Amino acid sequence: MGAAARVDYRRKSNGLVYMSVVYAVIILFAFVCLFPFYLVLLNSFQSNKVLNQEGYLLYIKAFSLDSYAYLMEGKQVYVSYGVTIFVTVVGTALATAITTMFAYVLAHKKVKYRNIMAFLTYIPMVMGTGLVGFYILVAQWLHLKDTLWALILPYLLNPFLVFVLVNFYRALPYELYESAYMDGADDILVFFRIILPVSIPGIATIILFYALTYWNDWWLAILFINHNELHPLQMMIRSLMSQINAAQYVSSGTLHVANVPSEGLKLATVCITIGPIVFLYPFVQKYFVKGLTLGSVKG
Amino acid sequence: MRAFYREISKNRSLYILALPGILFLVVFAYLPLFGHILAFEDFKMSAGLFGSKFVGFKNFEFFFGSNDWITVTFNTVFLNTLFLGIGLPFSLVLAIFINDIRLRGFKRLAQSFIFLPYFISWQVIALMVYALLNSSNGFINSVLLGAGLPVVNWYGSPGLWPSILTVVNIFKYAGYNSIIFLAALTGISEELYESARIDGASRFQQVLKITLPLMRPIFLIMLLLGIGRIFFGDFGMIYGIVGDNGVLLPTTDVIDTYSYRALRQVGNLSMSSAVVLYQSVMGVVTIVFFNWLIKKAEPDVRLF
Amino acid sequence: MRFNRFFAAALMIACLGMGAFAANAPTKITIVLPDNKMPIFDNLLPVIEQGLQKDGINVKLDFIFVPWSDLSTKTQVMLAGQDDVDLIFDAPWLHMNQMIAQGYYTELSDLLKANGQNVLRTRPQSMWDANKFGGKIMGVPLGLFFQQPHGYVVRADLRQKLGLKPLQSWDDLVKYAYAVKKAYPKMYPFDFDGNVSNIQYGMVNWKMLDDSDTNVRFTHAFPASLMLYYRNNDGIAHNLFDEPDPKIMTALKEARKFYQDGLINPDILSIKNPTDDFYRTGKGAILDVRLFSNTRSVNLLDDLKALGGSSEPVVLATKTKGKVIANFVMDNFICLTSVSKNKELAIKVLDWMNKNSDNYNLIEHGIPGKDWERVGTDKWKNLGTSEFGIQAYALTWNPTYALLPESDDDNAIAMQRLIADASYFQKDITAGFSFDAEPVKNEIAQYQGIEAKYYPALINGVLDPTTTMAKFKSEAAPSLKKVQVELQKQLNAFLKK
Repeated sequence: MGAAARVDYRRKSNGLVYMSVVYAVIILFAFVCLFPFYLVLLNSFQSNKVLNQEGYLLYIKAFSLDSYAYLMEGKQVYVSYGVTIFVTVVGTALATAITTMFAYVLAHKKVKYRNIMAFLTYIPMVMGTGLVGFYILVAQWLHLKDTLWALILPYLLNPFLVFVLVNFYRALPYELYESAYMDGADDILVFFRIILPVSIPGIATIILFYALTYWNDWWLAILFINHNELHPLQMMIRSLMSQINAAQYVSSGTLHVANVPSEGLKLATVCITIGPIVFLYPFVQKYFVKGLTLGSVKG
Repeated sequence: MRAFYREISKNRSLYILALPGILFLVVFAYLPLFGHILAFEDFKMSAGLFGSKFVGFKNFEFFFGSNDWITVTFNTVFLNTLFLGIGLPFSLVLAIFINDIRLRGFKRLAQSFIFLPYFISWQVIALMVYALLNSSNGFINSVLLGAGLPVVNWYGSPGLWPSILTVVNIFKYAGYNSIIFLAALTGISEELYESARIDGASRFQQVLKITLPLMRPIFLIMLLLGIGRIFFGDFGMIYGIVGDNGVLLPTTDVIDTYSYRALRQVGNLSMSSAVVLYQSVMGVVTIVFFNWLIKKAEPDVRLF
Repeated sequence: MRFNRFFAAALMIACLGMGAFAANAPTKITIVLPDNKMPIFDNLLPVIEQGLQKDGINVKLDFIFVPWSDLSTKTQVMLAGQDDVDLIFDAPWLHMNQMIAQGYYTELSDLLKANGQNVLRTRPQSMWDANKFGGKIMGVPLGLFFQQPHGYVVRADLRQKLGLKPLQSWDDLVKYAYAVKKAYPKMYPFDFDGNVSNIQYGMVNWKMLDDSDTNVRFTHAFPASLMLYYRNNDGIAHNLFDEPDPKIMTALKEARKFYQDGLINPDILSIKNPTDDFYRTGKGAILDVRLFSNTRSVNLLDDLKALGGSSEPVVLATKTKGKVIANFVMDNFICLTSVSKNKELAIKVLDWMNKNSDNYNLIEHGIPGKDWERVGTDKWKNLGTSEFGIQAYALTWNPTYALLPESDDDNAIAMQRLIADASYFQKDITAGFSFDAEPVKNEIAQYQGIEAKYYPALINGVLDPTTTMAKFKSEAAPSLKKVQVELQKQLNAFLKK
């Protein structure tokens, strides 16, 4: 009895030390991740004068909504929001559809060429296409320049996400298929009726990643968009950060306001662009770990 | 060929499902590869891409002629090794720790917070980094000053940047990677831990004896995926944060930023194409080699 | 009532007329310029298009603005991708020589003779002679003067507060900088630019513009690097590794000292936008500008005013005739792409913009009476807040119709009159020469790769010149030498003629 109690005690203390380390590390890292957001959000409400003179502070010294007001007054933010939302929604929907179908085929045991196809899907990940070839393809051959499709089509299939999904499908119990095939159902029907409904966790994961890709992209806009009317939000931030006439870019046409809150404007724009995408996360979170779970166990 | 047709017609429905994906790969991944011929020609507009004079490896000379190619190749591999070598184990530890947390609310919250950085673009992170490190009113220097410590000229000290970039990389990707690990962790059967507990193993011992060995395959897969891209610098990250700061180039210039700068400053598409081609070839060679190596060592773990 | 009916009838006829016109749809002319749309652009464009229509040029103008930070890359890719662009901005300091070598631009002599007489007429012959590429006109040179103005803008209020007299010399400027630093330790007085794309605005590059003594200046091979340099008027390309020019070396050491003494921002190489981030927000005190007068940026002036500050120009350029050697090479050009399907029409558009003072200033300043007004015969006054209408410096600038800003002080006006006069300059014996980079393009590419690590840092004092030079030399000397030798060879051949 005494000996057993001692073992128990030791195990408990061991667990205590371990758990303290666990909580300490997690809290610390969560803080590190949160801090820059806190700094940016807080200071976007700081008066521009304070920002200019003292930089980012940990508290609000002079509260001001000037930056947001200025941003909302101009039309660019609405234009860019519209572009980004359209591109994200349409792009994510299309990309998810294509990826789920493609990955299913790669995962299907009946498909003889699945390994070759997997290999050919993987190669582009480790092989750059070069800027010129890509540009000529999109601008000259597909005539997508200055259209929203130029911001959507090039990201429709991400090989990495294909592999995540392939592993997810592989982990599905084989009985699922068997019963369906016994009824003589067609492969397409099996996919939509049986596989898709049970794959929601995996698909939710893919949706989140595609949405992030579209939401955060500016590279395609630099290459293929020539007019401000089609600039996504990330392009707007970029312009604010690197241009001399940043303020004019935002308001493009509206009346000139003395004292453009240039520093605050950047922060306000950052907050406005992060906002919606962050709110997407809680909706996906419940599927999230599960989606990757099945996907990863088999590796 | 007959066998090919038979397979296609047998699984017609399945290949139809894959068709949009195949089409995408052909158009967006393989068609643009023709651009690589630029690397071998003296491009003239009038002659066009397919008619310009073929000059062999002449466009590669500027790159391999000085020691810069060694520097940028080294930096690319070195930085990626740091990101993988420190970032992946850190993410794994993070995942194990999160998995061990029993307070559900706290667990969810912590998960959300550490995943947050993955949501924002590099240019926003660059803005944050500048806000923290700049000399005029940077946050970190203000803190150092307040604590009576000497301030650091961050943007003038190349030696510090591999570490800074590693920290930033972990900041952005640790949450993401840890969630992939966490997914695998939740798949480990509770019974294994139960029997270990009966044997009197401490929490820490359970991690060492059970968790880590079981996490090995997924860890290797993640590593392999990372190694496949070891010759690809993270352009968005490095160009966004470091920009063209010449003093920092010796430790931060990677192949991607080098070829971008070559394009911008030299104004010669063929030469920058040559650099991109070099990178692609190295990428393919690496992945084939490592896939082969791992197949030998761990027959269960492989990409294709 | 009757009047109204008449009006309605008139309107109907007008509509019908428009309808008939629409049948003859306007041709689209695409023009690529740097920067971004100005606030008055959207109102201005229809007026320009109407003006063109009225003169029988039935076009729709599609302006594409490319931000400075993406300009070099994007324009190259656009050209290589054969986008349907007609007119495009380029410059020797950007990639004009390379683009010409790759065949993207059209030779303009015949087109200008046929449709661009006004373009030809509004630029003096000496300007055309000095701005050919391999003896050909590959772009329309743009400039108001024979050389761009250059000066500094300083904080007038601070100078007065510190009890200093108006600044007249480099030494005054330095004294003022130190005084500012002493009184306001958190400020970094000098606002030079450390960006690779703005390297002309780096400290040593900028300071050497005022060397009218030995006239150290940039070569045709590297328009923004003094590692190769001309000195005096002897047609010799010097190499800084082999012949460390005392003036350049002194300036490099000076830059280093300023940097160490906190006169130059420690982050200079990473600051994206020094004007906006520092001078404008009152954290800097000396800005280098392509002007002899106060800055034109209304936002900047207003922001300073809000801080209780004010600006004044400092001009260090000499007024003595014959002291400054110039080759009359313009900084900016507008080029016609070789893929353009409307070459004649594009030149007609350019011609219209250079046709008379009204057209020219409509482009540059906007709608008269609304955006600007004429003061006297040769000056203009800004009525709005936009710095200009369309980026005229990249499209139309000519010395014939340019107006001087009414806000400029007497000194600035006098200086601008001087540099508009060819006889103010001593003509460079290499004027009219253009460098063919093809034979050494590998060496140039290699050298520039190495230079990026050192040059911007050196000229802004971030690196110590004595120790860094040795390292720089060990890496870059061979490739630079080859470029120098080739440049000299071509120069000699040119001078022999």
